[in-house]
Amino acid sequence: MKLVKIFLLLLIISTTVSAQDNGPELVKGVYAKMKLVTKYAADVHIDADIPNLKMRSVDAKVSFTQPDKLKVNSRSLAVLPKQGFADFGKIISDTSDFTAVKTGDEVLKGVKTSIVNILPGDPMGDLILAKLWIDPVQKLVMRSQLTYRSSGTVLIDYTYGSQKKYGLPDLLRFTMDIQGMKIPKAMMADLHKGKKEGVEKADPNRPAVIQVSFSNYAVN
Amino acid sequence: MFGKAIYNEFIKIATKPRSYLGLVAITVLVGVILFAMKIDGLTYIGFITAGFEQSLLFEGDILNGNLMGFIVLQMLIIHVPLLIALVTGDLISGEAAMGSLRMLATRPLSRTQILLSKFVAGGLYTFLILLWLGFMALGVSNFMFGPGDLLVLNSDGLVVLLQDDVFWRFLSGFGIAYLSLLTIATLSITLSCFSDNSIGPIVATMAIIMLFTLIGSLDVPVFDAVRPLLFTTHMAAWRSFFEDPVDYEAIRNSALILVAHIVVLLGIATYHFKRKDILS
Repeated sequence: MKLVKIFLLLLIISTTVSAQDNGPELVKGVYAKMKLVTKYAADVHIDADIPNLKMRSVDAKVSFTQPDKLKVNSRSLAVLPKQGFADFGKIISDTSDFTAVKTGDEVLKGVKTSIVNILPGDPMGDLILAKLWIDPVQKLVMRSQLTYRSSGTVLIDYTYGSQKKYGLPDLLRFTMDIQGMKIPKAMMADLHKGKKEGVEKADPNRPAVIQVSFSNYAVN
Repeated sequence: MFGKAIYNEFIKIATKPRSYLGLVAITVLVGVILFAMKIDGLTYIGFITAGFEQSLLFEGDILNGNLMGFIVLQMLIIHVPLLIALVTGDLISGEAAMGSLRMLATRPLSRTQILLSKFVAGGLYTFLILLWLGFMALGVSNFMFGPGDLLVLNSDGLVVLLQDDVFWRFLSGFGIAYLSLLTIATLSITLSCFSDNSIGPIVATMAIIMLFTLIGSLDVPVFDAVRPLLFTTHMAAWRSFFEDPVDYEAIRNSALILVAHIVVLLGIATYHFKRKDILS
């Protein structure tokens, strides 16, 4: 019995150590795929469900140039997440500037992924921790959870399609918490507010969800 | 004959210097607001979007002509009633003070027709004031800031309305705002029938607006029953066109209450004016 326990303990330790060793390699693999793309342009359709902000879906064009230059052209007012959209590549570009540790595995959408925690080298930087769910076979990030000092945690789900080979997603789903807003009283007179009693309002404390669908990619 | 009477009444309004005070005041007020927004508008808007901008990126011009038009209307629609009452509160009492009411009654028009001609002329003046406000708020704002999607604030938060979806809302909003201002004009004309000097009806109109606004804004149960019946409660109904979805039921209700006020006030004015002693 004692032998079995020692064997199990050794097995766990060896598994953890080997998993930790995989961390930087997995991130390197993802970045190598991202580096295939120097620039891209695409049409995007943005659906936003944000507490205290009601807006219709917006169509826009985005262009991206490595490492983090994002340009959005939209005839309408568009809302995008401030973090996690274009800065991700820059974060993982310099492997000496972060510590990557594999912490486990998880099955996401039927794909076995490795969970890698990334700790940035700069302890005073805005990004505190990045948690990535990486498909080790395809070298694709399936999900990321980025924790920022300024804006809290952003959870991003990736869905791939036509541009899988470049690591470019067809759909990004951002989930994040939004701080409350202050409205000057002079701009808020709403004398019909008393008449909305029967209307069921959405929870103002729910997380914000932004879905960005990509199409018509023009890569490099 | 009635058409001629309306024309004459409108000419009387047009020849009074005080009638132009409203146009000048609106021009100056809108000018000040637009100047301030051109210089410091982003700071002002920043107060609203600051909570979002920690996590979100707004792409596109938030500070545009449509938003400016909305802000101008929101700020000025409270002050325009005074400019209206300044003219319409003088329509009957001014004539009584000058002694010209008796001469007016010698014309082959019934007293009801005299009153109605003044009411229509007052309504025309109100329309022109609102038209000027609309031109300054929307026309000049769009010229200065350019068009764009409208970011509207209400008690539920921010609503973004697409640029193509805004003009009809402004047009409909002006329609309801006109009903509100016509209610004020009718109130001041009615009070004007009871007075022989101009100051009384003008001040009384403003006092009533202030009192009703106070009752409307005091969130205490004792006024719950009376609040929906006050015309001041429905003067901001124009804003409902900037909600998504538009609350048509609330707008129809407000329009009906405003029209009811106009009809009742006009009825009181006609009843009193027909019996008014114009000989002393």
